[in-house]
Amino acid sequence: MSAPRGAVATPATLPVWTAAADAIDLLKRNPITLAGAAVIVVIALVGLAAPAIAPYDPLTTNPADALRPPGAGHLMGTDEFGEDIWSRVLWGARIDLAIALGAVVVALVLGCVIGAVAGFWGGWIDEVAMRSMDVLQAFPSFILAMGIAAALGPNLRNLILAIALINVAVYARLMRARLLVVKHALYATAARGAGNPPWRVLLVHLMPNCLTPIFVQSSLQSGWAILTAAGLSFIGLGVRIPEPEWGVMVAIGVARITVGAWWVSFYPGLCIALAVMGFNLIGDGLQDLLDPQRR
Amino acid sequence: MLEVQDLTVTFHTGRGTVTALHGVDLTLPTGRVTGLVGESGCGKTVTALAVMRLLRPPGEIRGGRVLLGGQNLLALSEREMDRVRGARIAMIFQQPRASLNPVFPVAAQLTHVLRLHRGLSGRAAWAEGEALLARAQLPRPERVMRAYPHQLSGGMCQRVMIALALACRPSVLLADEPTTALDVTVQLQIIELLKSLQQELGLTVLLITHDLGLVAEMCDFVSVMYAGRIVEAAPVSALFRRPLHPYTRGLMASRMRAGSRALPAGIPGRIPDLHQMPAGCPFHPRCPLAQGLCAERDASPETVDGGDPAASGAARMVRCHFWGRGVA
Repeated sequence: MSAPRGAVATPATLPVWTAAADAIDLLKRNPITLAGAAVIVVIALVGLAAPAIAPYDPLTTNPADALRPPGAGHLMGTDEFGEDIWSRVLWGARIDLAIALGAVVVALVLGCVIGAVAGFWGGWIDEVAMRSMDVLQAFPSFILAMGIAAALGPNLRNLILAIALINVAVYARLMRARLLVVKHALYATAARGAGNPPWRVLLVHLMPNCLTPIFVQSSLQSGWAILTAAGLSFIGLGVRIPEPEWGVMVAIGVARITVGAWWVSFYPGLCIALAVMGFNLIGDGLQDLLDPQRR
Repeated sequence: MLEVQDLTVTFHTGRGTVTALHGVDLTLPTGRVTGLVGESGCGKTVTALAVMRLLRPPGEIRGGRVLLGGQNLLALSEREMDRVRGARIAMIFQQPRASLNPVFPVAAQLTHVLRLHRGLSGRAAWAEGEALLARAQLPRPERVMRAYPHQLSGGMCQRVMIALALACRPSVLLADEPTTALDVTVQLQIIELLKSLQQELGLTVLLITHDLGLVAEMCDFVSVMYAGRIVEAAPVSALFRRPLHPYTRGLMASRMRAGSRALPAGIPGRIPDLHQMPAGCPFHPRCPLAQGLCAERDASPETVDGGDPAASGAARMVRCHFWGRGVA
């Protein structure tokens, strides 16, 4: 287990480059994670480049071109307003990744702080924090998200907030559970003995030791955030028609599937599935990437 | 000089409150190595943690004083204490690998301490870190800087811990069984290192151990602890020549001796459960000299000359009603 690996094999380069080289090396050995990362990177690049590569404006309607099947001119066809679906899918990558990232970052930061404070100081702080998390988790999460989104009003920012809030408890629990394990570690005592005040022991020495499961969770939650966002938008509580968000686009096409216009919902639906899959695959490999002992 | 006076520590447990330290007195003369020996569970580590004020609940310091340069550490605020820990008193532990943070390379941990107490940063901190590792006699310090603790051997981890402990030039070092978890050959190297650093820097060291050989090798003074009390304190030479307390004599008889086939005599019985302390002297159920008085009341510390011309003038303390009997 703890056998020193042939002395200390670290090349004399900057730590950043070592870390990057480690990451690349790990991805090479782990093709599934690589595939997931590739999918997300492609979606991100496409989203960034959308203004340059989309052949049409995503919001320009053209009744004359309504419900064209996929083919020349319109790669993925058009919807009932005559909007080009390919262009809208490209722009949608922006919105959906922003939702995933925003929701996860907000939930992660809030959850980690709450969980860390609760686990480190314990006592009544712990009780208050964790019972609040119980209340959040007592509701079915999608119903709660619906309630929050409806109360705040349907727009992108509130959608992100709603999805973040229903996930805070997940991160808070993970962080608290890990912290209860590591807070009595000898290195925490040693850090205190070196003159670190308690808050710095928590922030600098303990929290980094709790992050691995949290990052793994956050990758899985990113996919889930896209699904929830699409779901909320689908029922009209998220981003509104005609914004090019994948869930909205699925909603627009639903009524047309029965008359044979499958492409309107199919392509954005496929994108949702791909993004969710990509995040889930990354989650599996993150564990290895983040734990120095498993590199 | 670090002086511990009448230090009392209790632990609150599900079965009631137990007293782990009963008024411990300990003097660490400046620039000298003082050993603290005793069986596992007698309170050696608790003493060191209490001096550093690192005891966690349910442990609680109930009384006494810890004087460092005339200042009572137990009366300082937490904030003031943060400036003492690491900077004036440092501590190294029994499990070197577990005392290093597993997610950071050595460099991060060293530069962090240097920034914290000495305000160094960037290249200056890095260079000083390498110099400290070199001083702890780690080969190729530039590589060790980039290593994670799990990539180092136990002995290397302890050297890194020593470098970390000395990073801020403390005057007092508390070493809690620094070699117990290491291979015998590595133990020797670490002891040599501690010894040379101690002499070079004039460190005041408290060496906690249960290894009497190590005490003989390294220490100038030694205190023997039993069940949360110091039962004997003396200069090392005097103690080895003429142990006064029956417990000390028992410890001496428990040593393995090279060239002897006979098993060491040992001490019958076990260290008492803190929940069921015997009345009177805590050692009396195991003591060959015990009499009725021993079960009635504990002896008080007695300063004796020892009548040993070799340790002339060096006062020693023993805590036993009948120490004079059976002494050769």
